[in-house]
Amino acid sequence: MTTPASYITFKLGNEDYGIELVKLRELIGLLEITRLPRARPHIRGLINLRGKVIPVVDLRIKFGMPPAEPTHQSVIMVVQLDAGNAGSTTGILVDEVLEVRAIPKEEVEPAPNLSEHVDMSFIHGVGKVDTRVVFLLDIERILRDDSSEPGRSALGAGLPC
Amino acid sequence: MKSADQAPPKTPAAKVQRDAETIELLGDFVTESEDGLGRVDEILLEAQRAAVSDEQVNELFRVFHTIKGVSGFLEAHDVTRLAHVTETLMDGARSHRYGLDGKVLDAVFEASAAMRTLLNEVRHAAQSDCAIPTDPELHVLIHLIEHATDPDAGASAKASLRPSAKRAEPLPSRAPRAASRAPAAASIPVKASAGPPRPSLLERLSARPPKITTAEAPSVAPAAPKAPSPATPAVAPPAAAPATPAAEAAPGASGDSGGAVRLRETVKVDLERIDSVVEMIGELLIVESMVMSAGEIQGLASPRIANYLGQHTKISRDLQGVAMRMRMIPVRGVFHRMARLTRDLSRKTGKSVELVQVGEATEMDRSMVERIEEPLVHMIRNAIDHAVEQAPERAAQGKPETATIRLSAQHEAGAVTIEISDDGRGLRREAILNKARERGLVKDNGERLSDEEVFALIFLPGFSTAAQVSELSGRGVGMDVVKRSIEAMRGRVMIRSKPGVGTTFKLVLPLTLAIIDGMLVSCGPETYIIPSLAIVESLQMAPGMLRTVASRGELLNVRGEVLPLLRLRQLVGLSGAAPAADQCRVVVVESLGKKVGLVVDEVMTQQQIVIKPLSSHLGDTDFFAGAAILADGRVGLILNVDRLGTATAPSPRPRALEAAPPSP
Repeated sequence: MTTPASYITFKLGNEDYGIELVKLRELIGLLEITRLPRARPHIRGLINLRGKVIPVVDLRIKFGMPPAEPTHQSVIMVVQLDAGNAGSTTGILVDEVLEVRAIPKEEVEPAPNLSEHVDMSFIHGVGKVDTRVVFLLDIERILRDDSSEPGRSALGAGLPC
Repeated sequence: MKSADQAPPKTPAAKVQRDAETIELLGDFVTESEDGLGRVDEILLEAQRAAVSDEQVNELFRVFHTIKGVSGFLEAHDVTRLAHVTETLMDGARSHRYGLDGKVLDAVFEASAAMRTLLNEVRHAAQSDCAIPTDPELHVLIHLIEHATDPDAGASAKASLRPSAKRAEPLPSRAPRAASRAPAAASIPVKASAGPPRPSLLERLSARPPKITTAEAPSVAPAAPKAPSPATPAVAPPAAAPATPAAEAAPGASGDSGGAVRLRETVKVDLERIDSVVEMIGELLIVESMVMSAGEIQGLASPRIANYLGQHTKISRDLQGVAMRMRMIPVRGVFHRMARLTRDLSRKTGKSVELVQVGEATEMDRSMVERIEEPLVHMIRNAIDHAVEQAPERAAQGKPETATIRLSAQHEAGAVTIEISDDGRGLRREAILNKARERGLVKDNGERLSDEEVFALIFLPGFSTAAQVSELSGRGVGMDVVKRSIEAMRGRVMIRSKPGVGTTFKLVLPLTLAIIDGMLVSCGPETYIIPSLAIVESLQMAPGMLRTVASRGELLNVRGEVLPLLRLRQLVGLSGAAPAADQCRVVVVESLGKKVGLVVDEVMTQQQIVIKPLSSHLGDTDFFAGAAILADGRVGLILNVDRLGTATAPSPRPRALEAAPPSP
C-alpha cells in the first residue's frame, strides 16, 4: 500500500471537492476582490496578497454552476502550480473549506459521469470519505484550460469598435 | 594567434586592428542577435506544431531585419547576406504569399542555425582580433533559402538541402570550439573585471608585437585550468601540449576574458538583484502608505509618533531614490555608438552627415538605455537613408552640404525625452497618404486627418514609402520596430516634420520601467489608473462640449478641437447610473498622436505606482497595462492608453494584410 495522498476538501454548492494538499499554499478569508473587466468569466478578479497581485478564480463559474455571492464561509484557497514560480500563484474562491483528508489510492475510483456540472476531464478521480463522495480535481488542468471558454465576457461585445 | 586553431576554416584569419569601441559593438551585436535568434527558434518550434500568428511571423521578420541592419555597418558580410535573404523570405510569409511551413520553415531553421554559427565566428573574430571570416559555401544555403518557395523546387530543394546539411557539419564542429570558450570566459569574471578592460585592449592593440611573447602567456595561463572541462580539449592544457600551441591557446583565453566584459553577462545578473531590491522597496512604500492611512494611526494624537513616522517616510523615499539611481546610467555610450553609426552610414551613402549630441550625461534606467539603442539605430538609419538629400539637392535648396542630425536627451517632468532631428527633406504628407489610400488604411481619403495622425501611419507594420528596398532600410519595418520598442517601455513617440526643413522624432520615456506616475480616477466604486505620461489634460465636462454624430459616436469639443469620446464606465462594463454629465470629468489622453477624451466619474489623485504585470491567460488583459496596489491596499488596474486609441477605430492591420499582393 502506498502512502495515501492528502487532499484539502471543500464545498461548492452541494458537492464536495478535493485538491492535493501539496498544491495549497495557504487559505485566506475573503478580502476585497478587484473586478477585472474583459477577463474570462470565471476570473473573479484580483487580490493583493501581501504586495503580490494574484488572480482569483471562481470555480462555480468555471463549472457552470449558478453564480453565488461570497458568504462569511467563503474562502480563497491560494494554490501554486509550479513550485518556485510565483507567477503561477492563483486564488480559488470556494463556498466553504471542509478538512484535510488522507485518501488512500484504493479509495479513489476513476471518474464516472456523476456531477451534472463538471467537465469530467477536470477530475482525477472520485474518492470516498466516510459516506461522502469527493471529486478530486486536476487543478492544473482547470487553471490552464482556456479552450472551452467563451473567451471573454459579454462585455466585449458592448465595445464601441 | 588563432592561426593554428583556425586551420580547419576555409579562410585564413587575417589580423585586424579594432578599437575597443568596435570590439564592444561586435560583442553587443552578437549577444543581441543571439537573443533574437532565441525568439526565432521558439517561434519556429511553435510553427512546427501549429500555425503561428501574424505577429509572430512579423517578429521573425524583425529579428532578421535588425541583424541585417547592424551587421551591415559592422561589415559582417556573411551575416548580412544571410539575414537579407531570410528577411526576404519572411517578408513573403508576412504578406501571406506563402505559409510558414514545409520548405519555408525548413529554410528558416537552417538559416537560424547557420546564423548562430556565423555569429560565433564574429564573436571569435572580435575576441582574437581576426578578420570576420567569409564562408565560401554560404551561397549554397542562400540559394536554398532564395528558392525555398519555388513551386517546382521539390526535387532541387531536396538536392540542395543535402549539400547544405553536409556543409553545416564543419561549422558546428567549429561552433563548439567557439562555444567552449564562452564558458571559459564566463567562469573568470573576477579576472575580467579586475583589470580595466579598455586600456588593456588598447595596449594589446598598440603595444603588442604581432607574435605572442612568452612573457604574456603566464599572465593568462591561470584562465585555462579554471575553464570547465569542455573547454579543455579546445584550449590545450599548457603542460600536455607542445610549447607553441600552448602559447597560442592561452592568449585565446585572454581574448575571451576581455569578451566576458564586452558581453555583460555578469552585469545582467546584478541587474536582476537590483530589480528585486527596487521591487521590494516599492512594496515597502505600499505597506508604508497603508500603515499611514490606517484609521488607527491617523487617530493618534502623539507628536512623537508623528515625528517618527515622518522620519520613516523620509528615509524610505530616500531609499527609493537611491535604489532608482542604482539602475541609472548615462545615455553616453549609446549616443557615441550612434555617432559611429552615422559615420559609417555617411561613408556608405556618400552623404555628408554630422551627428550633434546634446545631453549625453542624461541618466536613465540601465535596461532602458539598452533598449533605446535599437529604435535609435532605426531612426538614424532612416534619417540618413531617406530624409537626408544628396549634396547637390541640398545645395540647390540652399542648405549646408553637410546635413546635421541632432540627438538630444534631457529630463523633463519626471520623464526622459530623447529627440532625433534631421534637416532633411521632411515627411511628405501626400506620399504617406497615397500609400495609406493604396492600402485602404484611411477613410474619406484621409483629408481630415491632422499631420500628426498622417505621420503616425508610418508606424504601421510594413508601411514604407521608400520606392526601393535597399540593404540599409526601406521596408518600413523600422518604424514599426521603433513604435513597438518604445511602447514596450511605456513611452510615446511624437513626430514633427516640415517639408524641406526636416523631421523631429520625440521619444518620451518614463525614468524607470517598474514605477510610473499615475492618475487615479474613479468609476462608481472602482478605481483605475491612467499613466500620467499619456495624459494631456483633464477637464470638467461643460455643457456644449459634447456632440453626438450618428456615424462616429460621441465627440468632444475641446476649445475647437474635436476628439473621439469614450466612457470608462462602458469600457469596463460597469452598470448603474453615471453622475450627471456636468459632474463628470474628461481626461484627454494621447497615444501615437491620437487624442481621445475619456469620461470618468471623478479624478482623484496622482501617485507613484509600482506596476505589477497581469498574466495573459486571464482574458483580454491587453486592455490593461498592469495592476498596482493602491494606498488602501486594494488592487487598481492601469489602463493601456494605446488600446483606448484603437478602441475608437477598427484596427487597420488586417486590412493592410489583405491589401498585400496576391501570391504569385
